[in-house]
Amino acid sequence: SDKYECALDLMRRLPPQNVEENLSKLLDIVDADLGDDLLSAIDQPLKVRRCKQTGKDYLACDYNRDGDSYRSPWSNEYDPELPDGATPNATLRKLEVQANEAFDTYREMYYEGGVSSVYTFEIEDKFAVVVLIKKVGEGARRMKGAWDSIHVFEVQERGRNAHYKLTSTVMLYMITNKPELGHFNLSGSLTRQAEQDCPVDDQSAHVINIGRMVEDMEIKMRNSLQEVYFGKTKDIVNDLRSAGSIKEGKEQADIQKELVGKLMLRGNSQ
Amino acid sequence: MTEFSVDEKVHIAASFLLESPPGEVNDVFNDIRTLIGDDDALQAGILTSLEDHNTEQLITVALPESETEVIISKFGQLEGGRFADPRSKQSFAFDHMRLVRYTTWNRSGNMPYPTLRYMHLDFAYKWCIFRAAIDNEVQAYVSDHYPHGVTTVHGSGSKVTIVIVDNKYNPSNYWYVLFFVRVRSITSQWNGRWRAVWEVEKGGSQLKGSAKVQVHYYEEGNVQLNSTKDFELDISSEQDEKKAATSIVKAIEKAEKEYQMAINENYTELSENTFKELRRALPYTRNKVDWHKIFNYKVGNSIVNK
Repeated sequence: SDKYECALDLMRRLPPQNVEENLSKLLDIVDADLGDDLLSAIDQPLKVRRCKQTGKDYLACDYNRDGDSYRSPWSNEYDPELPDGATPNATLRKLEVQANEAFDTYREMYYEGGVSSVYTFEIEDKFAVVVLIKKVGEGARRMKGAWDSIHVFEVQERGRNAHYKLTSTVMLYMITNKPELGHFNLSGSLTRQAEQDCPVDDQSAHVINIGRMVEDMEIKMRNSLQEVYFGKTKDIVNDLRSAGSIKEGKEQADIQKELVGKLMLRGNSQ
Repeated sequence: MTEFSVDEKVHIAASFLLESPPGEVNDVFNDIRTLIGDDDALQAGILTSLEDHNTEQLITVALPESETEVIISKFGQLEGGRFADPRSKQSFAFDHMRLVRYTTWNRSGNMPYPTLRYMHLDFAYKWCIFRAAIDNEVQAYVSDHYPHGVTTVHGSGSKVTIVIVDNKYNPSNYWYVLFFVRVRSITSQWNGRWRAVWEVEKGGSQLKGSAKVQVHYYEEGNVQLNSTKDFELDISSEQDEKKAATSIVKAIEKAEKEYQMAINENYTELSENTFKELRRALPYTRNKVDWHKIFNYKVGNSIVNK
């Protein structure tokens, strides 16, 4: 567990630009068991695959992987073929189908493109729902971007209610190459969590509850990403170097302070 | 699955050190140390990586008998692992290993500063008027544009190399020990570093340089900026050392300022265009999604169509 924490800490420090390469190196230095835990704990950019049976795109990650094969949420088949590959039970598969349809629309409305996939699987007395979305930008104006959403739900049904535990990670990559700028790479991910109890009255409830939680979470995270990427990191860059003269800046600040002081005195004496 | 030997694992782990974000090499080292679990092998295999890290990342050192800090870089490397500080006319031996701590029970939690094992005060480094003239101009420039900047100017033959670095570590990033429990302050976690290296020949008309900016933000996530740019500027060829120094530093200031402006403009463009194109703030309906509608329409239709 100590090693596990250190591995996670390490991945939080190494450049997200190289997450796949670094994860691969990390797996080389830890034992197989820890390696498996890390593979499911550390998020990597999602890969797009084409479903052989339906011709639709889907996203590949550790949650729809069995060995070296990946399961398509559209056909429920593995590629490369795996006759005994793990699939969700009938109830969960039905939920999976509904969720994929619903999120397909959600994705179109917010992302106007991209690929989405939803996977379900049992965990003892609960079940998990994983909602994935990937959008890659056009690359206009020499600026490339990619957004990967990974929402992992743990759902516990309790009578006519359900308890939803959500852990969400959004990976955002932004790369610009321009002569006056050189090579600019702003990449990484943010993770947030949420928990909620919702009623489960009918068939549609899980999809709708999960849908709402994902939507609210993505709205929150989109704001956080904006603040951190284009606010905080930019502030730090401008803290490292001052475009204007520091001396002149200080002189102006001193003059302003003096003025404010004089105004306040005048205000007090009137 | 191929099983790697301890030495091979150390080699892999050492490559992680090179990618440590500004001010976090100690943290990365501690992680690697736990993962490898073999201190002897680690110590043996890690030295070269630490040396590379320090010279590449322009680690700074405070020398006694000198008012300003000096930068550790390959430009100031001397025989036998020693480094030169042309400004104070000293050379010193630097223990790269000191950058990382072996004991976890250390009270002072601040970002580990490289310490010197010993130091010689003999004058072992050649200096020239050109280098000194540039050094004066660059120092004034750096103190006026880099709030925590350090600069070292090296001269070798007729070539002068200007090295500049500015670090900002989040001040509340402390490790401290409380009753044998390692506790970390979790307020706002980020670090940044700006590096610039410029090269010019005495009497030359070309100024070559490169700038590297890194920022690491890791509060509930891991976001890193890596921005690099190479420069090739034409400058007027001057024989008089003082005039040359002034014109060189002016050119550097102009180029670095334009680079900083370009970075800021790019931030604005990314935020207003590229980011929006990835995901809208709201659908075109200007309202959040109606999930009941989606379920009834989309899902209902699929069931019917099947």
